[in-house]
Amino acid sequence: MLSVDLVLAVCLGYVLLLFAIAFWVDRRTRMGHLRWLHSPMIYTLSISVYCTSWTFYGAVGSAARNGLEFITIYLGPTLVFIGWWWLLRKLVRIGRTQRITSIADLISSRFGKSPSLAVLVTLIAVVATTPYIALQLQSVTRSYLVIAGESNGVATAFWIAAGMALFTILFGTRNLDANERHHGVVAAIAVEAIVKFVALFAVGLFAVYGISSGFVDVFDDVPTEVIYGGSEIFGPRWAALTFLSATAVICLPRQFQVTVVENIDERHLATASWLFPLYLFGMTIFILPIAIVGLKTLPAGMNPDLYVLTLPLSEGRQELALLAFLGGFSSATSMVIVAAIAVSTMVSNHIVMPVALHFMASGREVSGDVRNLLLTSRRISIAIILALGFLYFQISGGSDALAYIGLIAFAGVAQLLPSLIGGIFWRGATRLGALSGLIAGFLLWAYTLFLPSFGGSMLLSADVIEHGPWGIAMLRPYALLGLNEPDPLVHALIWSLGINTLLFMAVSVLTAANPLEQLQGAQFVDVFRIDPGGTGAFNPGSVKAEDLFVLAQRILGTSTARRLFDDLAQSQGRDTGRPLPNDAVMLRLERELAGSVGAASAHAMVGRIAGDRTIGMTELMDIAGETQRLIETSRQLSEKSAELEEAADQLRRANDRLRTLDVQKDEFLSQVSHELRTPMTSIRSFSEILLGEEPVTPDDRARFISIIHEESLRLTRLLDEILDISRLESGNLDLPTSHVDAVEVTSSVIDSFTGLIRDRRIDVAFSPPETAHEVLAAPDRLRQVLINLLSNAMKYNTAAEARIDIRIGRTGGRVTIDIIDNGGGVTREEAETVFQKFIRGTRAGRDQGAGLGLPISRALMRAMGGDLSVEFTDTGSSFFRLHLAPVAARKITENLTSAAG
Amino acid sequence: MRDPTGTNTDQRRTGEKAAVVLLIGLILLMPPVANIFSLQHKIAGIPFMLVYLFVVWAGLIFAGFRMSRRMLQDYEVQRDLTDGED
Repeated sequence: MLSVDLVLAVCLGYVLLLFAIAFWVDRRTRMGHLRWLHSPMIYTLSISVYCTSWTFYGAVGSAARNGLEFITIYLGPTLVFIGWWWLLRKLVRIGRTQRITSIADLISSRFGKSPSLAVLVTLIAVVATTPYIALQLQSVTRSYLVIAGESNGVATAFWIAAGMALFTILFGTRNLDANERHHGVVAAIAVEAIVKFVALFAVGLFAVYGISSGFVDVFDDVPTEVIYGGSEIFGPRWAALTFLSATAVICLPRQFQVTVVENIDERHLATASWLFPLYLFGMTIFILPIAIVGLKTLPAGMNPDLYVLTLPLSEGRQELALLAFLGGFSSATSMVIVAAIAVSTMVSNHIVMPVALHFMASGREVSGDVRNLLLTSRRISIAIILALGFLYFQISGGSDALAYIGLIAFAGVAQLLPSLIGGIFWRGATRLGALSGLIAGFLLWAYTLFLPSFGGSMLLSADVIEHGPWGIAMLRPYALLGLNEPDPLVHALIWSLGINTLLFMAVSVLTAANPLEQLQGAQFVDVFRIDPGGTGAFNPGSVKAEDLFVLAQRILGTSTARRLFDDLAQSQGRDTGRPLPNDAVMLRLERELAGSVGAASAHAMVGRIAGDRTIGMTELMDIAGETQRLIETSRQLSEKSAELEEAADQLRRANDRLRTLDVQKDEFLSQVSHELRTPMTSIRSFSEILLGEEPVTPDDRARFISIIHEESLRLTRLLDEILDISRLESGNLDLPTSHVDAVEVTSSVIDSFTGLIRDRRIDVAFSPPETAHEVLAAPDRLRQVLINLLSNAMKYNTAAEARIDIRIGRTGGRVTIDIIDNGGGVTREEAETVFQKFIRGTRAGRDQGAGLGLPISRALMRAMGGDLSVEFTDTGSSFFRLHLAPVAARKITENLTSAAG
Repeated sequence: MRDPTGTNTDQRRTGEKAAVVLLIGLILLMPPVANIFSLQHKIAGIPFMLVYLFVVWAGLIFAGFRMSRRMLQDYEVQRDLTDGED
């Protein structure tokens, strides 16, 4: 036993040291000097707030009672940090982009910034944390009583609680940091983490090598039941405990605070992912040996929960006992301080502030001193939480109920797991799903585990616990609906978490999320994909930048608000003045405010100024999200490839066409040269004869000259035709059209053939219609085409009694001129080829034209807006049909009236 | 398994490795496999079960150490890619 004065002096000195560290770090950080503080080591040490006095004293007690089972409490976090760090990383990233201040804030923010969810999670956190704080007070008090030999436990606990409240208020609420970070507190926690580690390690070394002579000696003749704690250590309880501790390291408000909220750099998580498990490894390695040595050497009646302290004391090592006491003290204080900060942030942000906002007249948040209100409410919350812990300790103090409270608290916060994991991985999770899951899980946890743990002294009587309410056996808290599970913890977990998860998923599937929920859901689930610039949709017309500034000033403080607004203005390209209150500005402001007052409150405050909030198209696009974006991308890709295929196809077709054209061009050239060569040859040979020495008779001379003349004419005609067709094909031939009477033109052309008709005895039948058939055409060209067709019909007609029918009529709104002869016509196969250059019909003999007549005629007709085609009668005989564009009926009447006039 | 980071293949691979380590850890430390190792023997005077648990644990920590180095490299690559964004 040590003197009271010494213990108190050491305690006080230690606390003062912590104060000094926190104060110094806070000051240096504000001056921007402390870079070493931003180290992964400090971060990892602060996470070790997981090891409370429940670890420091309780783990040895647990090892003495149940053997190896205590290890599960450290295996769970190890598995999470090593195997599931990307969950933590996602939480950290979400925490940073959404300015999350607590786990209640995270869940409420995810489900549409729901105030009701925030309150519910806060309540669960308070209910689960209060007994845990009481446990810490109890540990410190008991250890103090043991080491100082005092007897007034209640007074000691009171002063400890008061001291912790003071420390927490001083360093936890010095200012409303935009990100709710507490550098001073974190530094102090890190120092405490080292102290508790060194203390436990020292006691362990002492137990193994001071009291015993090494590990072999420790484990010598120890019955296996002591180590294995029972017949089957690896049963459902082992799995349940590992699962619970894994859940706790994610969901405990204080763990969330140090891991997510206080995280400065995401990369620190990479180091913590192995360093924190290593810390736990070091913390636990001596626990079983200490327990065994304690069991061996200390009297049987001693509390195993205090072996860490009583072992050195019994061996007269007072300085070691003092170190152990400081270690336990550190474990307890660090847990209480962080838990108080985390829970008070929730209470003040989600319960006090909304109530205050509700009672404040509208507009007061702009004029009133919200900042002071917030700080005050947070300080009061801390005091209340510690007072609750103290009260709880006093009511249940000394009872063994506290011994299991750690696990019960773990099971309580485990209820947050489905909403948390579902919220960040499942887009379809809804607010109602989370609410129903949480409420059901919380109630079942309270009914099957929390309330019965008081052994009948709280709400449920011992009789109810034993036989069920009103004697209904099916409702027994430890065997609900007759579930036969001997371990109350496993039983409670199956019921509470099972129903919680089931309801969360089922209700989420059955209900629809509102747009804000969908937006938040998309931003949480896809936090690694979405640009943190964010989206939002406020109606900018109704917002005054000045109002926003005043609001920011009240909550963030003048200098921070000014910096923020200058930054925003600059990002909009404005050098002076306030930023334009657009979506981005509103959203950024809401996030910054959320860092101080939580998402739901910040949303309400900004919403009051911004007026109605509607979800814009861009947001909906974001909600549509990554899946849809991927679908869109792949759709675009397939469209692109289809386009490419199409383009390739077109290229292929163009290539084919070019090849055909190339062949046709070659054919055309060879045809042209052939056609030119025949007349040229005869011209040349006859002119050579005329130029030659040999005398030529005058008759011959005249005959030769006329042949030369004829051939020249033929050449000229041919060249004219070639010129015509090339002009027509290139579209260079300008054909001035006018109103022409097709009947008149046809009659005059037939008249010009009178001589030929008589010579060849051809029967030409043409009965001109009564009325004029006015068409748009170039009269000379139309005549040319008719002459060509008629001369073809006469030239190639091999019938004994040649006959040509010419009919003028109207077909399908056009004027048609049909030239029908009985000379065999063309076959269906020839119908198109006859219009190709240099192709003569099968019935045409050699040297009967160059084969350009029909192509030219068709090209001419088309150039006049008409056409030339081969038609077939029902009996299969073919004829040529000219199609001509008629003059509109109105114009005809005009012409008629003008003619009449 | 789903893509833990969604940023690039290397990071996804790191995430997948972590999941494999998690699975191995769970199999080795949970029933029924853990029951196989709950023997009565002692190794160098220390109960076999105790040695087994702590060796598996140390192995997990070592795997975590290796993966965290990989993770930090990924961050470096990412920072080089998005230079000056932060």
